[in-house]
Amino acid sequence: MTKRASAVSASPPRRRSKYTLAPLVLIAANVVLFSLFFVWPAVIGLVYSFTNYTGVGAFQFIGLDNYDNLLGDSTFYDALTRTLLYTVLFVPLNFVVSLLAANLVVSKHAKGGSVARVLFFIPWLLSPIVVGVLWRWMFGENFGLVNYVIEKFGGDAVPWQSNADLSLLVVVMASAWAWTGFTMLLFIAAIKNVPVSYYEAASLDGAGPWRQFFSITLPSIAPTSFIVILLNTINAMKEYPVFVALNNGGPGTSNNLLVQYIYETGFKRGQIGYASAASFVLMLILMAVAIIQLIVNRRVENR
Amino acid sequence: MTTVGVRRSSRLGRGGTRRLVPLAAGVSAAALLLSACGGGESDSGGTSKSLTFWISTVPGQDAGWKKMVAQYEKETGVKVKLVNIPYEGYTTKLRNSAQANSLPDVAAVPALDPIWSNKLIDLSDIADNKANKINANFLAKDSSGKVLSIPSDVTASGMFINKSLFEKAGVDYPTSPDKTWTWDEFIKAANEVQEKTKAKYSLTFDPSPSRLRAMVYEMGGKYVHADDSGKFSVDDATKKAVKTFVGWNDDKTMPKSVWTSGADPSAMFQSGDVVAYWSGVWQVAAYSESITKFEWASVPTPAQPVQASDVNSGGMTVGFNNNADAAGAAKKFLSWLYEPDHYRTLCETSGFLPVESGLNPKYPFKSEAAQAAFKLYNESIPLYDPISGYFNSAQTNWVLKGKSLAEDPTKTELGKAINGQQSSDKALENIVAGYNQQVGG
Repeated sequence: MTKRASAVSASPPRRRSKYTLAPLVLIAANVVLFSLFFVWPAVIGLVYSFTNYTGVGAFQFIGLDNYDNLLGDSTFYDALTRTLLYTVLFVPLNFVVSLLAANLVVSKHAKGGSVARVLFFIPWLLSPIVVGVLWRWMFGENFGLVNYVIEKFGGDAVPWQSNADLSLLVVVMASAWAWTGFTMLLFIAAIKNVPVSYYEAASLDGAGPWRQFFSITLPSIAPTSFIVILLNTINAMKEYPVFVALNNGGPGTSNNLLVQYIYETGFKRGQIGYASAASFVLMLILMAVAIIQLIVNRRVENR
Repeated sequence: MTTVGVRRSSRLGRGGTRRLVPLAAGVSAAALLLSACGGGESDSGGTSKSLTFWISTVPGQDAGWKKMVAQYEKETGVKVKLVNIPYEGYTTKLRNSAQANSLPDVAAVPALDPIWSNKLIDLSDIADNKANKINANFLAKDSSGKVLSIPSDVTASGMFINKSLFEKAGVDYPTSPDKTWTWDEFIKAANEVQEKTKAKYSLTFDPSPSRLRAMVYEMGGKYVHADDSGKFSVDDATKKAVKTFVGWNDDKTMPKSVWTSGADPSAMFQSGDVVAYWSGVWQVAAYSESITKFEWASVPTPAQPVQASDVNSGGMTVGFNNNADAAGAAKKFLSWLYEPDHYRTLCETSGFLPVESGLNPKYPFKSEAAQAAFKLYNESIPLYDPISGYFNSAQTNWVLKGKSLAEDPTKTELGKAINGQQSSDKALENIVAGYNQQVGG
């Protein structure tokens, strides 16, 4: 009896451990990795942002001085403004081009859709440095392909590298080209999920392709559009390698985006504390962007 | 540790403790014991019959060192163990060895390091030996006047021209450093060639502080230099020269994209569509093979009025004072190495520009332009003003004070000036501030 009772009483905890231990172990692994590779460096970064750390030796806590100095640093504002401008140019361009490409390759009238899909996707497989180098060959101001063609037809060479705005425009185009494949894939999946019956009903009602696109496709893929805009915004705000490979943030420092500014300040000028403060400002901006977009998305969905 | 074991073990071998050798390779305690034994042996007054010599070169480019080591062994019977260490880990390995008291006896290093600079042998005897004719402009001395390193070779900034374009335009250029041109005359000639041949640009200019320094020196400035208190400033001649340089970046004389957006000046010159290229001697070997569609030539560096360049050490040889016996042997080896006949062989085999004058090395280049270029550099270097070695010596002195210029702000600040973001004077102010912050005082 006693034996049985003990067996009965022992069984529920054993069952509990069976269903709680495995998830706990699996989650713990994640928690450890997350803490080790994200939380811990982030905490160190936050601590450094309140110090005058130079990367070597001891440091002193200087309170909010770094943040205070950032507020009055025109170079930081220039980098921030340029980053926002780049984002405002890149995100819509990438959105439109990718959506267009997705619609073209899923269209029942299109021929060679699968080949086109592969061709559009290849740039996304390239390293951003390679993308930069490729576009530099094309838009090199002095010996680039585009200027060569322009000059062959009797035109004047365009200052693609030494004019700050043109230089930014080339990076916007290069990035949009490189990102089209990935964004296009997201759109293709979303467009294919739109029920065909909607389009059939619409055409019975006499709606043309444009009307169908604006009244059925766009609203139906809204959640994907939201994700695309969010991801692209965050990526654009953190862009670095394409700029470095294409024009090194030039001409001069006029296209130094925030991440390049942080890198140069922290690692080249040895102002780790100051660069950490700038990194946290960037993180706060990105979090704000993500939260605003989440709120907007929730409102749209609840309507 | 193994290296040390081998070096010291052969000395011990002479003492009859040969059996310790295998132990020394594997057991660190034994290595320590052996170190102690090695130290004790210095009292014997004999000269070590073996040396360890560390270098760091790309495999295949160590031919000169190998040849010298073999010749030294043949002539003196002293075994020199040459160890070629990958460049990435070289500095760290030297630091670790210093801390573990197991430095090599001789090394060719890219720069001095405060961690081990107090272990260096004074090489004044070799540097001051008149027979060696070592150019004193490129030697660095510590505060007590000791010569801690001697360049294994030197590198210098210099001008390349597209000879075919000059000939096509019928414009002359100087060929001897005794009769060179000024920067004004050079620019005038290059512009004339550019106009007559419809070349794209008159000049491309490496986006490098060193190249700018050379040009400023030639125009009579000292670039960014420190006074006795260690505070940096620029003189009026530097301001004028830098302003002139910024003005040349007008997309006709020079392309703006090189200094502002990272375009490659060497590729531009090699395209054949640029009249001249301000770079340096290290391009010669590559150009002797890579440029085939036009003729190129090295021409004397402009002097306005100062005949100068920015001359740096390609590497520095140093000796370490591990113990009196080993230090003596190291010094003997270095003295032998810098004897003009031996040093000439090293330069010829490794393709080095010598730090010694009057050597006339014969290099194995097939290209006539490359041979002529090396001849010109070798003739020019002895004529250069002492300012040419200022930065090289200054760098060593910063290291001896525990400082280093991690990031020269020149390129970024002048890029901004060329892009119209600031004046050239403001750029120089920012550069001076960067120097003062990193290596000032």
